[in-house]
Amino acid sequence: MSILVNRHTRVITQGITGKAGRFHTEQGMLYAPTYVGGVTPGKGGGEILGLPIFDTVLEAKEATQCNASLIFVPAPFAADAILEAEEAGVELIVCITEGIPVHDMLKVRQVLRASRTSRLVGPNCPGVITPEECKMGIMPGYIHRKGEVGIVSRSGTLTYEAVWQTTLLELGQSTCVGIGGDPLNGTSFIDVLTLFEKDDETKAILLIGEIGGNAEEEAADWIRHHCTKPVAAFIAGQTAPAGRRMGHAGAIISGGHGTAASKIAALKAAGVKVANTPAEMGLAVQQVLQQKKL
Amino acid sequence: MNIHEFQAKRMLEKYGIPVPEFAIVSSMKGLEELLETRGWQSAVLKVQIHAGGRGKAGGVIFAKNRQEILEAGRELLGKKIINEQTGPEGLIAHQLMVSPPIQIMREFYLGMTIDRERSERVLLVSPVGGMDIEQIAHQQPDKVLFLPLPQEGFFRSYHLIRLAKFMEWKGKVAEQGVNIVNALVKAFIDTDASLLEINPLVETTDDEQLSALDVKMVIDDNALFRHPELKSLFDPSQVNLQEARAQEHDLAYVALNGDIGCMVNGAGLAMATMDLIHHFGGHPANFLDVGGGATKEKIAEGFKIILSDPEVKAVLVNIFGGIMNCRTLASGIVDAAKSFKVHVPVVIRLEGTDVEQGKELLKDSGLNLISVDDLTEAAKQVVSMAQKSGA
Repeated sequence: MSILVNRHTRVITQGITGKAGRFHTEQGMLYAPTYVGGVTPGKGGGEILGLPIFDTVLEAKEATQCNASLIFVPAPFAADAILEAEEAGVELIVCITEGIPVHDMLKVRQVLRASRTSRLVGPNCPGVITPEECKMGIMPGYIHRKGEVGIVSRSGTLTYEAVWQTTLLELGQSTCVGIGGDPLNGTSFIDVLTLFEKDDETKAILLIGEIGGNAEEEAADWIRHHCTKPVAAFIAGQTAPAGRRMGHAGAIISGGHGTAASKIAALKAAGVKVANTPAEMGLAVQQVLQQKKL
Repeated sequence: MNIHEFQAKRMLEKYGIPVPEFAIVSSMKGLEELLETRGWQSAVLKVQIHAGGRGKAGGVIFAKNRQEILEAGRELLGKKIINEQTGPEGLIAHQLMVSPPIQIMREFYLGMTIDRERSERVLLVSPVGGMDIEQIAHQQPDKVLFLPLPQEGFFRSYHLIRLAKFMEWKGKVAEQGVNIVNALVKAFIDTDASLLEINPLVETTDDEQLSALDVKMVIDDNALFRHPELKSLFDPSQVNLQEARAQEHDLAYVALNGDIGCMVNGAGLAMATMDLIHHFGGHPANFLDVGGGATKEKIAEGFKIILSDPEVKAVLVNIFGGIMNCRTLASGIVDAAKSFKVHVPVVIRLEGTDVEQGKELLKDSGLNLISVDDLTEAAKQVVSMAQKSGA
């Protein structure tokens, strides 16, 4: 199994003729043959990387039966690109774009929440990958290895670090999902945890959080009540000062909320093994897997 | 992006929100001319900096005559204000707001913000203004009302009736208050603000008028592309030197108090690297995320910004190559090191795309760089080097 994407996923890229869109579509195609087309308004009828280009997502969907869209559209137009994919009924929308205005994301969240057809991952995220089956995002493919750890994270490169550690330990990954560093995003930790819980291939879960907001606390509460699989975690920003935004729009401790200490305490209370340092994420998940097998 | 109080007040005036009379001066000459033309015999002088808590930090003076006004001007112009909100370096007041004193009968709080957990815009109001809203919410929770703004972007009449009653506004004041709330909502949405706060909104004794005595406004940086008129309000004197330079080059930089410079790609990995340094007893001098898709030039610029901080005793570069490959990183570092004297030890840990070529480039450069493969080992090394060169 795996979650969200697999070898049968039919992916289009919105913004396929831009530099990033083209590059990562090509990388995704080299990884696995799951790409079926792309969208760039005004360039419909053309071809790129051997794929057909369409003016709208609706046209692309009618012609290719795509069920997933990867978005590289620049921030001023990205909210519209997400809304377009939703309206066309694309099931999985992964938005890589960083820096979407927060007032735009309010509208997107409202629509996606009520959507009967679509799920949004991101924005401002590395994407989703099921090793050896489908790479929908900007992560380097070669660091992954098919295996049994489901990884969910708010970060980009810190996720690569975790992936690499689990690959070196020969645990491998079932699916890796980057939910993004923005405070207003589509898919939450709990959404992904729910999917991992139901997925046979996922034997253990690694959750990578960071300071700001209360998504990790909510995830901990969900794990305590609903999760039967072993979970390991790491929280970045344990030493970040209050009131300063650490790169991600969501990564800020304000008014005493969103501290690493409160997140770690909540996770530990839910039985999660929390790695002390970022160099021990892989070891932490290895440990919970071994304990489970004993 | 933060803007100054006087800029926010001018903005609110455009939306029809009454603001007490004020003037802005940036020199003693300007202040003297102002007193000449307006004939003010007493005044309140307030520093214009990007931080709250100015009164307690000595940034506000009530002056009772012409001589006191001039003395206050001399004291406050160019004064460095230091408090929790300014950070340890403080902020310098280049401009003063001068206004004739007013008689205040009551103070209120009005604030629009975004509730990120519930993803909606929300209005917070309180009939006890003048204090920090978090403090009011903590001490007198029944004195704070949260009103989520309907999706259409305006409050309905029953919301406004409820609000006026909660604020104990009656008659003419209620009418005026409701107009102010509506204007505040419109200004918040129009300008892509992430915070717009009137604290306090005051009712004056002599004419029973409401007006915005102090205003705080933060604009969403990501939306500035559609507000060129707001972009020009940016005041570079109100941010740390290294932070301003980093911003110019689109790098995420936060100055900290330690002595180990850090350059990392990705915000999560950058925070995790800081944590690791702390874990081994070191203190990061900064947070620097060069971003996932950094170019050679951005890397070089980031490296120079780190080295321009005189506190830095050692540097740790931790890069997990993804979109940005390790070759790009290495050539950026080599370029920077050639044009800029590297006076402290530099530990580099590379992993990911093109890692071998990157290491090769660093080795061939002949520069004194310490290449370490293991993340833990890299952190330990940089901490011990900072301690040695600090001693």
